[in-house]
Amino acid sequence: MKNHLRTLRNQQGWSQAHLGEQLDVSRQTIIAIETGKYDPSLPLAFKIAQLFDLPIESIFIPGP
Amino acid sequence: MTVWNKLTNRRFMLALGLAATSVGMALILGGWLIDSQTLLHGGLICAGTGAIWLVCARWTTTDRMRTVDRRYAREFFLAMGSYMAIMLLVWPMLEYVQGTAARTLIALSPILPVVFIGRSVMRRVRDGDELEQRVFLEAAAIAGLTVGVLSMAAAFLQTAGLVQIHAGLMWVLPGLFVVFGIALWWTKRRYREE
Repeated sequence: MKNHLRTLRNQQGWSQAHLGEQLDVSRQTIIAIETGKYDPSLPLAFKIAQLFDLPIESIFIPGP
Repeated sequence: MTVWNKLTNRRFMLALGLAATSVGMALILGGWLIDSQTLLHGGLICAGTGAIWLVCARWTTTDRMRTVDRRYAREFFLAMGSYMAIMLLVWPMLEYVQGTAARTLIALSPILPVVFIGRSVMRRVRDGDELEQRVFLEAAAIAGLTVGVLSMAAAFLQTAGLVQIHAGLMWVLPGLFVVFGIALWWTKRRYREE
């Protein structure tokens, strides 16, 4: 699954550590999601969408 | 904000490495001065572990330690320090104590800090985020399988009379911790940057 998390984070001017703190996850987890090496759970995906005030499908794109 | 709250992972690892190396060197010196093999061996293990931590600091992140990591560090190293103190100060008393009850108590005394070490690890795993929990699970599976297979191989060799392992069962838990640590590092690599 691809995502626009890095772009959205950069638009806000946030560091990976800062985003991690807001989502209560480690920086390594943010890195893994941004690079597509890890697909977040539904609750975490909703939390991300809520933080950026966007629908989930505009952040996460289904696919290999 | 206290210094403890501002601590980064790398600084913590460096501080830990320096502390363990210094304590290890002091124990080696003490063991050499009073001719104690227990202090010498304890000092060598302590200094060796400290040196490994100092080297590992090179690859540790400079992120500020998260609350769960600070709590884990506090709980784990307090328990580990107690374990070492018991092994160096209480365990040698077995040589001088005769009664079965007292000997049993002294022999089992290191188990209490070991239980607290296990508790600190369990709390860290429980309060980790979802990716951390997945990584911990993979590392635990690798550690369990590796140590299980090695223990069985050692047991077969010992039963066949090919090797003689002193207090073989004592190596199971430390083995699990060591392999878990290596497997954790290896598993984390798969989720790191491009």
